[in-house]
Amino acid sequence: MSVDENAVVLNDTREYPVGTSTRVLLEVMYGDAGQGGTSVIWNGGVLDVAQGEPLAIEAGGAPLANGIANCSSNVMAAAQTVHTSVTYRLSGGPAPVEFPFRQDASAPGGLTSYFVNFFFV
Amino acid sequence: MKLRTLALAACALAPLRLAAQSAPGGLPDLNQLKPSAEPAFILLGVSPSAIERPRTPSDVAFGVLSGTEELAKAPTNYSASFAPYWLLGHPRLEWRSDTVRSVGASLARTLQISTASADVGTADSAVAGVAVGASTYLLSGRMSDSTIRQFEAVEATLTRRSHLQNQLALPQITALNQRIASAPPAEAQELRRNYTALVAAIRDSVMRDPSYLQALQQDEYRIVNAQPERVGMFWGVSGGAAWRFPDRVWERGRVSSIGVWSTLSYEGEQVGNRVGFTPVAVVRYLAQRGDTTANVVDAGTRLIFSGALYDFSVEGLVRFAASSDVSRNLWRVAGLFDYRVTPATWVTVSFGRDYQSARAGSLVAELGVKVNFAHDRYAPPAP
Repeated sequence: MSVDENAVVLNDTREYPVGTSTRVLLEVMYGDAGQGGTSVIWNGGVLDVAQGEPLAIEAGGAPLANGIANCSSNVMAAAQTVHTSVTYRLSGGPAPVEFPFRQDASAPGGLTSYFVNFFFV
Repeated sequence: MKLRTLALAACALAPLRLAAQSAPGGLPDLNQLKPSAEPAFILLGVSPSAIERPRTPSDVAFGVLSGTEELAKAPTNYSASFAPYWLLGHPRLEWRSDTVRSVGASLARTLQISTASADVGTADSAVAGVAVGASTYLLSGRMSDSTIRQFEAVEATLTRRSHLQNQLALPQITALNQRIASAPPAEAQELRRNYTALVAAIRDSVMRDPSYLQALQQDEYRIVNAQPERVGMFWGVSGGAAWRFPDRVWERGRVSSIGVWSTLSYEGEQVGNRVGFTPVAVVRYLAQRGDTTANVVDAGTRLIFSGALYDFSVEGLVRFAASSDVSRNLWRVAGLFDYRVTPATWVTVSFGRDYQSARAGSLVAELGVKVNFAHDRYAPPAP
């Protein structure tokens, strides 16, 4: 059975202090027993986040401050609930920070899309 | 029909009658020895198969009994069930950490509370019945390898879809980001302040773009719902109580019956390459207020063999009278064979001996045809 394409969408923007760092790591965790996949627009290209592995975000050795990473995460709710959640964990700056987001699907097992942007400051 | 008769009939695990072949969502009688997710319905004598409700156990569900006298009268029988754990959010629970469960995790994640109300009186005397029950699994197996592969495939598709969304939005978002980088400070500040809305507009336009919608029809982007199943040892416990309210008067309400039961089963065992084997055992105590002769303890087992085109099962049950007034214990043994004629049509044959061998109708010997509109004849326990 194909999933309903009427995904519930969440848009947001957050800041992550990177100091003088030239490389940060992005980890993505999908909660509520859902399945998810994430891709990132960075530096004019598209990078996919492998499951369970951090994605290295860098700019050829240049400082990352003032950079912008645009994440697209699609998450399927588990069959027994409408809840979905995504936690982005950024590290490599002065301190690691977790950015949790929650969004209910339109029905149990439904689809949600998270469009989350990060300003590196 | 009186409550006691209804309750015992619903709980008897006994007659393999064709009319009772379909449990909720088209499940066959093969699942009767498993703990009911709705003990309240059983204790109230309301067959779950007569209640409209979602097939998959969900965070919350409501139902209305069907009989409404041709819509001339509002239905009087209602049900509600909910799984407390899934009503709340669990942002730290990844599906990979749910492949196996501790006893505590299983208990919490499979707990279901059910309530039901039904008109259990006769034409001459109105009696409202209300029941509350709970069921849970102390052991709920592990996620099957097939389910894990399906979930991984879904994740790969979701990643491809995210990639596609980014690829299509890339020119506009890159242009916006470059504009912020090169704009005078005041303008850059303004763009940053409105950034979420600006990107949201780009994302929205992509998701409405015909080329995007067309791409979603391709197999590589099409998300197919996984069919979650768990295999291994299942240990379920259920219990509940029912109340009767003669003439629907609150002060006359009394507990009419209680029941507790426990079921042990093993899912996913194979005999040979293509035959599934599920052994099930149950112990159950049912008590009726004011009628100690109706208090019984059932103990039994069922062995289920499942092939692609058939199911075969045998069951044996012993019913012990809890009261000393009843000296004789009862037993039942029966076999059931289902054969698939077409994907939606099954021929069913049953044969055996019911509890009271001298009573009319105690010979279990029936042949029938079942048309299954849902096509999903057997569904393993949902995670």
